[in-house]
Amino acid sequence: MKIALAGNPNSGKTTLFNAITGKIEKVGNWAGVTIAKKEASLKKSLNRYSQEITVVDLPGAYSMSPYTSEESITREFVANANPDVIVNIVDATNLGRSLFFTTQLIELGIPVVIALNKSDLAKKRKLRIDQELLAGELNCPVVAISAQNGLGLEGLVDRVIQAVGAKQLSAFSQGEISGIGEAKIRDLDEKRYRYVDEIVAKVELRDIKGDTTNIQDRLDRILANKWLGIPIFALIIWLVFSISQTYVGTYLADILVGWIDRFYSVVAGLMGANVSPILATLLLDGIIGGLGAVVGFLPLIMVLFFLLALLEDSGYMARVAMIMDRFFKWVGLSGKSIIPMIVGTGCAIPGIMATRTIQDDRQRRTTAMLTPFMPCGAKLPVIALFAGVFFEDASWVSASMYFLGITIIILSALIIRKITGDEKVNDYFIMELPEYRIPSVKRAAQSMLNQAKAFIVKASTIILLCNAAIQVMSTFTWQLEVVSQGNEASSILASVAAPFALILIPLGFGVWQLAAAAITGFIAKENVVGTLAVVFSITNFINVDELALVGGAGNIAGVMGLTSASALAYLAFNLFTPPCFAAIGAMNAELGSKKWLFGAIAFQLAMGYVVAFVIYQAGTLLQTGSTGQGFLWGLVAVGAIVATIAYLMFKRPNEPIRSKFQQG
Amino acid sequence: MENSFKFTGLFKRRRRHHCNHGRKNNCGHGRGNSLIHAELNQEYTIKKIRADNDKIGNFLFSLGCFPGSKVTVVSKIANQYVIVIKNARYSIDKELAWCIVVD
Repeated sequence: MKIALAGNPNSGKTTLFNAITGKIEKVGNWAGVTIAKKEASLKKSLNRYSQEITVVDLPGAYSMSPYTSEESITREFVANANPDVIVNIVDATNLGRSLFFTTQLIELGIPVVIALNKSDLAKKRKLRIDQELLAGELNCPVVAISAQNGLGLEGLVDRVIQAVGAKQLSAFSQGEISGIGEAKIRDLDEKRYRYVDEIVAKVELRDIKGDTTNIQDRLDRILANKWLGIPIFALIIWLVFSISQTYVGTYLADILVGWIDRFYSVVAGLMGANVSPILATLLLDGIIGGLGAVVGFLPLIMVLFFLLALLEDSGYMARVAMIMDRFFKWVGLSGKSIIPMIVGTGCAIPGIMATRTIQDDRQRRTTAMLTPFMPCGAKLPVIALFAGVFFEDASWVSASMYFLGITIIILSALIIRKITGDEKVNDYFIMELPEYRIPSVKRAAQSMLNQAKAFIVKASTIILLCNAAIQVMSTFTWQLEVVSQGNEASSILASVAAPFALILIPLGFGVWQLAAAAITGFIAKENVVGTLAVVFSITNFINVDELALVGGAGNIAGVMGLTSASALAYLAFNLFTPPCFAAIGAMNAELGSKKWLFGAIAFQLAMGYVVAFVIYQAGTLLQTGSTGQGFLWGLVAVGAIVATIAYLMFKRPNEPIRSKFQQG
Repeated sequence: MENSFKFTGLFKRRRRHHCNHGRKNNCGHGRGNSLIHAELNQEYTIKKIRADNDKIGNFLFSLGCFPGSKVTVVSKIANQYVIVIKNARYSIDKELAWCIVVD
């Protein structure tokens, strides 16, 4: 048996889905968090029936009228999946709009059960809905629930089971619509709206009208203010990073690393002196050490995700989109482009997928190729590590990487707009403003644990393998002899990474160890820290004796041989070069064109190189009064890149890349 | 698409609605009070949607924003207009506010 959850965006479909299936899918207090359908079976505790019940969560839609393309996904799904029952989640605080979609669902002939969600919120706002009357009007059962607080879920499931096999009658019928013109459909839809208005007038009793300026609007005026909006956003992001990195995260990381250290000594003790030293190093330094270095940063990532989830739940993110719309319009992006980027702060892959809500092809593709420039969770360990080693744990490093990301994205969008041809796009901005609310700690904790789980799975599979491979490659020479002390440059790893290191000299980190770490970063960005730990034989970066994130910072800085300028350049290089392979795969899927994909990768490589070069050379010039290593060669390379990009930007537009988008 | 080289500047701002609508009416946009000139917290009846893009018109329709329905502007923040349609709040940009013609 299959039940489908359908309803308006931000009506709480995914919250209900999580509540009745026990899953932890991403939720957020804004419209359009869910972009693809998800399936899971009904939780055992709710399923008192002998059959397997599958629940399908659908992306939100306002309408199923045939002329709206983005809504056709929902329509298609409902038609194809043929669910036994549709659960229509209706926002009780917004009947007037929600029921429009409801009447369309009812016409499909599949039994519909209405879940009147946010009923607790409605009560708080002195809004009364006559459920029985509503059920009578629409010919389908109505159940008041609160998905967020888990109220009324059993009753909902019971009504759903009862509804199976029932014949769904529709009180409003528009008749056959295929083959009639758009204007005619519009007429019918207007009639449908009047019908909905009539129902709402009968069943809803509102004591407080919601259409005058209220306290929320006053808050908006401050938070989305023309001048204050950006500084407030910056302050919030800085707080998020400094709490996760300097305070709570560090404290937790210290505890965790203490355990890893003990585990290391236990394993070392167990092996004793009888195990071959090569095997011992592989296990201790390669696997436990490399992994420990990565896992040590887990608490930071968890705290970051916890805070970001709180922020997303509060409703603030929709206001960020409001603020950013102005800036993104200048560079030919849509204000909606900020949503994929915010999502991308967690992980670039769902961020890239979130670009689907952007209609214009060029804007969507540009956003998809620039989203990986946001510092994702996997890039956080290396950022935190370098902030600790080279900048005395300054939380401004992470926050400034975040804003450097946004700045580079805006600059890149400008360049890409020029390259692809500056065609006028009528991109209107419209975004539903969800109400502010006290974020749910429980949900933030769930999101955090979900991320932690994913991180641990990744660490114990792909990162573990990579670290082991790096350890082996750095232990042996091509003749399969063990590399002797002081002769590390003869290892397999060194000889593979050395040619790349040559290219990186003008960026200030042209040693094979750092080149190797940058390369393994393409497999997964967490690898950067793991590889650094292995190649520099540092068992773990986080020192439990000092209450600082990175202990012995001076030593580590000395081993790596980086200045603060080259360290910052290395961070920028990691941030602005192409993302991990998984994210490139997502880019491939969303860009839908090889030309765009290779263009995007080339552009990202070029951007990473140029930004790192500028940071290193300018930083070195400021610090020492002279330019850094390989300045001339780097200048030639960067000059060539800039010239190529400039040529592409200002060449005669003969064949516009962007051509398919047509209106209507 | 233009085929000649033209340097338009990097920060070219699209000025689609560069005129003072309603005041001098030499822009071809026609007179009509759009939401741009709407007073805060006053309910208006929508007269027409003049979008040059069917998609947005259809989208507005699905939100209940079409000729004959009611709309209220509750805030103007920078280039954004916060409007209420059927008890739901939306943030729209000035271009879209211009598209919504009211009585």
